[in-house]
Order: sequence, then C-alpha cells, then structure tokens
Amino acid sequence: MDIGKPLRIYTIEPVEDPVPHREPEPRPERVPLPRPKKEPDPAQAP
Amino acid sequence: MTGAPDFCEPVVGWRLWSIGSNDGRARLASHVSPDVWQPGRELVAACGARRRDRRRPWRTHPTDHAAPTPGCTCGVHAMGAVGYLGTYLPAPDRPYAWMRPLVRQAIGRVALWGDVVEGSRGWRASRAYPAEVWVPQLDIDGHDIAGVEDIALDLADYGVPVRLCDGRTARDVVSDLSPRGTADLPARPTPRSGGRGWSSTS
Repeated sequence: MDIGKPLRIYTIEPVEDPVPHREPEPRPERVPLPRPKKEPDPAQAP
Repeated sequence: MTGAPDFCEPVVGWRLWSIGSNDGRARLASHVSPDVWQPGRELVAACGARRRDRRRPWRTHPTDHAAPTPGCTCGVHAMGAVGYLGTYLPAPDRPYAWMRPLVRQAIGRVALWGDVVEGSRGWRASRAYPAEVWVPQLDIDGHDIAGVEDIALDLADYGVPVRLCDGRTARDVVSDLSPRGTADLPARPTPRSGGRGWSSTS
C-alpha cells in the first residue's frame, strides 16, 4: 500500500496494551437439532 | 530509536487482509508478505527487502535495518481513510497478480504503534494488531464465499469486533464504510512531546 509522501516519524508507546489477551475459545461444534417426537395421531389410535 | 515516546495512544488506520487457514482455523494474513497475524499476539514488522551487493550486483543481501525505515517501504501498512483501500481491491476485470488469491479477504481497522512513519495517506509501523474486522460474504464476482460464517467465527479469536457483511463484496464494504473512513482521516494521537519532523529524500 502506498502511504504517500512521508511526513514525519515518531514513536508510540501505548499506555494500554492494544492486544486483547485472552485464550482463543474452542470452536463450537455443529450438532444436529433434536427431532421433535411425533405425537400419535388420535384418529389412528385403536 | 531511543528516548521518551512521542505519543501514548496507537494510531488506527485501515487495511486489507487476505484470509488463510492456519492450523485449521481462519487467520488474517498480509497480502504481500508471508506474515500471518496470530490472535493475542502483536505483529512485529521486519524488513524483507534485499539490497544489491555493490561489487557483485547479481547478489543481494538482506537489509540490516529495523522496520520501518523512512527510505524503505517496510513496516505494517495502514491507510488514513478506508476509501484509499479501493485502489487495492481487485475487480473482475482488473485482478492484481501480485496479491494472493483474494476469494476470501477482510477489511478492517488496525492499531499501529512502536516506530511509526507517517505519510500523507497513511502509516507504516513496527507493531500492529487488528482493531475491528469486516468480512464480506461475497467474492469479487458476487458469488457466495463458502463457509463464511465459520471464517467469522474463527476470526473472533482475535478478541476484537468481527462483522459478517451479508450480501456484500469487499468493494461494497469499502464503499459502505467510506464516509466513516473519511471522518477518521485526522486520526492522530494526542502529542506528548511532539513528533520528530524529517524530510523525504525521494
């Protein structure tokens, strides 16, 4: 990338760390949704 | 560089990343260097340029300087406005051969600190970390990118906001963000002791 004509140079020492430190969370697994149980049809009930 | 720092807040610029796979998870990668940005770890720039041997010009040697240096192009690059990124986005009729395959790419804001070279359009810095990431759902031809939800999920490891842009190509995202990017143009930190001025030799 072309940042254009250089203007000045400086140093930055952030007071707060710009890097959020946390462990990567384990990737959630995709699980199939439980199938709804079929209610017995009262019309076909003996 | 030695002595007291000039500023105490990082500058925040705009950049493009390609998205690659690292240990089975989607990770941000630089377009023109082999750097992979690791979650929870700042990216430290190194100069990958080589200089010619004066006596044997067919030979080259690595440069010995720390990145960034004013007379080089090294360092982590970021632009001062998101609109500047449009130049670097491939179009179906104008692919960039020097870039990695850009089926999957991200647009984002990046925090820069350490030694910083400020230019008229952006910065080059020695240290960087993503600050915010936008992931387009469509490639440059407008086709769905496979597994884009999983990519966005992996990128959440960086601990910064990740946004999945439904129905958007990278060019659309840059266009959508442009007014915001323009507003960010004077995004300079508050000076502590004033920067050191210098003139370009080019």
